[in-house]
Amino acid sequence: MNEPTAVPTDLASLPLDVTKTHKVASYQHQLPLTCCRFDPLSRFVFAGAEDLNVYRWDLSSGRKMMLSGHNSWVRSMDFSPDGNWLYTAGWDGELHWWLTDDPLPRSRRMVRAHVGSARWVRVSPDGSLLATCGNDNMIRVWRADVGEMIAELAGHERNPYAVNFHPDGKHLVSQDLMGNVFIWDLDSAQRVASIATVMTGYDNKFAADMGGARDMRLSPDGRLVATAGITNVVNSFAGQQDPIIGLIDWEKRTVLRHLRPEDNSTGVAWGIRFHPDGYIIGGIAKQSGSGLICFWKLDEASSPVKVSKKEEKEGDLKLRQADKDPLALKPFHSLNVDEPKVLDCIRGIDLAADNRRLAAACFDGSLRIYQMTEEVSG
Amino acid sequence: MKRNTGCHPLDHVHSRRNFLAGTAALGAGAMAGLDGFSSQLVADTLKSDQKRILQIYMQGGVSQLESWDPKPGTLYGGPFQSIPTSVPGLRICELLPYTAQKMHLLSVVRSINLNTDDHHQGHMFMEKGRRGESAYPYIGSVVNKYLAPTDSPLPGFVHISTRGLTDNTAGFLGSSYAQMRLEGIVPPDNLDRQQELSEQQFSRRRDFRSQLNQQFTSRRPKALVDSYDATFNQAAQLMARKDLFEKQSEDQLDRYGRHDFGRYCLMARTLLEEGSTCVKVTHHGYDTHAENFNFHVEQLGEFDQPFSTLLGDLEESGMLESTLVMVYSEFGRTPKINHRYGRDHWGSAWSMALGGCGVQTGAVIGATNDKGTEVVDHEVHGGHLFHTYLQALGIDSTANHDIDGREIPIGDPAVEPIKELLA
Repeated sequence: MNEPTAVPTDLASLPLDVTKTHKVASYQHQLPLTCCRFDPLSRFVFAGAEDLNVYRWDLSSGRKMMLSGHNSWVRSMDFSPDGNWLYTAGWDGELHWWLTDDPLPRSRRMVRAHVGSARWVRVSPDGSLLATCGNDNMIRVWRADVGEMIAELAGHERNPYAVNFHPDGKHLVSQDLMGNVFIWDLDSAQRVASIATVMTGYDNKFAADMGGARDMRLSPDGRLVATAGITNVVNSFAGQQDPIIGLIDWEKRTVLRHLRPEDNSTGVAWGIRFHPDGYIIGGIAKQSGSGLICFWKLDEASSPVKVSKKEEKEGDLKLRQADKDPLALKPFHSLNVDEPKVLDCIRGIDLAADNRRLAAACFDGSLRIYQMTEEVSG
Repeated sequence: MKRNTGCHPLDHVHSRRNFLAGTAALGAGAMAGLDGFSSQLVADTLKSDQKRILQIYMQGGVSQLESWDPKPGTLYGGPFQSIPTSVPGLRICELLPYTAQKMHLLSVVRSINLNTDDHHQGHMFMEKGRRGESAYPYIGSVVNKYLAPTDSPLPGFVHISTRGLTDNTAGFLGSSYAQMRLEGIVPPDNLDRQQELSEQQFSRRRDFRSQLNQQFTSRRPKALVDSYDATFNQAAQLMARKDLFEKQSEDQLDRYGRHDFGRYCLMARTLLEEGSTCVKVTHHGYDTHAENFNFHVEQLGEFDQPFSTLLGDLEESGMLESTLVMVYSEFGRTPKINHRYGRDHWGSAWSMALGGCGVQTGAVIGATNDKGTEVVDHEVHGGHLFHTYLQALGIDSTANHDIDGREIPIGDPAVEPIKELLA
């Protein structure tokens, strides 16, 4: 196991240069990680793992602390805007409340949020509400202060994989296994829009569907929804499908672009972040087991593409194939996170509040911190 | 031993017209029944006590950790919980909530070691009770030969599947005992008699064909003729029961589910009720090298309710007392979880469930270690299970097949049945 590594926290003065992204620290867990988050004050980085716990690393000291309370894997977490509370959703169906900087972390509240797995949790922009989704096909909304359920949104016929609040605080967005994106009005608890995407696939050989969001983010101005996942399923049981990040135009309720890796490699897109300086960052696990961080320019990604009538007629099939997809946009920069002799494919990424650091949760149990600046010697 | 005439024509296309065309020279003589038994005593016993078998084959290798042998909270346990069942102390994976309520009708074997991680080898071992390539018959064909009545109104061994075109299930028993594969619940092609042919004309054609067959086979090897004749007979049986393929009851579909597997299970119940001796239903899609957990949510979510409904119906009707139910794969899946959230092939420590036909219920046979990586108690393989199935069905698995005077052991003589399961 690596020695704990402290990360310098005063980075805001360094010029951002995503093309110079480099690793500055790596924390190690014994088991593969499932997701990661910086807390809003950038004091800690948290990760879920293929065990029953969440782990917290102190960025100033590198000290690791275990948060024990779930009875299954945690694959989604979020924070109150002030950074005081951490909320975790587990495959045990439970939603837990934790104090972010608790010296001896313990679960402060638990609700059984879903029958079956609770796949996702997100905090409303004002911090008053939590939204979760789970394998009972429900979206549920909870009061963050007391854990009371205040709304239940039914309509997904297959498992919703992710849910998020629109920055206006009045709408929710969710995406299910079949790639369907639903927009919900919070006041009426009704679905107000449905957008089909190519982010699903039916494997004829195995007679099963694969798809859905592995991450979902909205741009801070609320104009774009981004969901990370897969398309073009060839052999889903072997993981042979294309990673994709779908960008949706909020106003027009249409799919705007498909962000894809440069080399059209097969795999899964597990993470997505909007960078305030005009970038979209994606974390990808290649089928081969290596990891990839890709950078797209937001202005390119948000520019509509004219799709010819011929292409429209060819429909979904073409949109799924990376080399034929008229909506495809390749990154302007990519970073392979391969290290020798390890399978380090990415299971999640996050952007620190300083907007200079990225965290990547990896299969080899490493939680890697990358800095998007010129390398500073010493 | 007579030569193996290869796979059954009905495995490919059920086209009655194709069967009739150009076969006037082929003869009858399918000898479905008990004539192959070397022990008359056993044969007499079987005649007086008709039994049958329901096979649910989870193709690709269902994960034992996500089904019959969950280990939540352990190193390789995965994200799912275990749940209590109708058997005190027995817990199975949370993905099988309906089946959990029927576990008092089943037993679980948690200690299978086939010593192979190969799909085909594992499947053959589980079906034939013998390791490696061989001409031994599948359990379904053995049961078809020794248990299907000669006057059975339906084919003795029906396999409902959408894949597996080339399975040679009968081996040296001859294709008379091979499976008849149904493409889901889709009726075979040309199930209706040709409109221009009256029932009387059709019957006369059959009689004429039969007469020619007898002449032809009196001077020639009869295996090929038997094969074609069995096909004709099966086609005729299906033509007489084309009602089986009519629209399924909405009330029953409410109970079984409207997806393919629900419909297949409902069809399986109908076939068993109507006289088929072995019905096999294949549920595809368990070879989860990637996204094992999401796929098991999907696949077991589809499996659970129809299977438990079928099991409950068999119990309620009293048929479970004479119907052996086996739920099996060709192997399990690796305890270790790979980088694609997948589990790979694992034939050395995995599980299945079985019940009915006098099999001890509520039992757990064998155990794996805490990590699920090894069998630590009562290791068994396909040979032990094969003996167990047959003895539960009242077939003496230590007896011999009589193949044209040559005696071939029905079960592997080197192993015994799992006695704890045989009440």
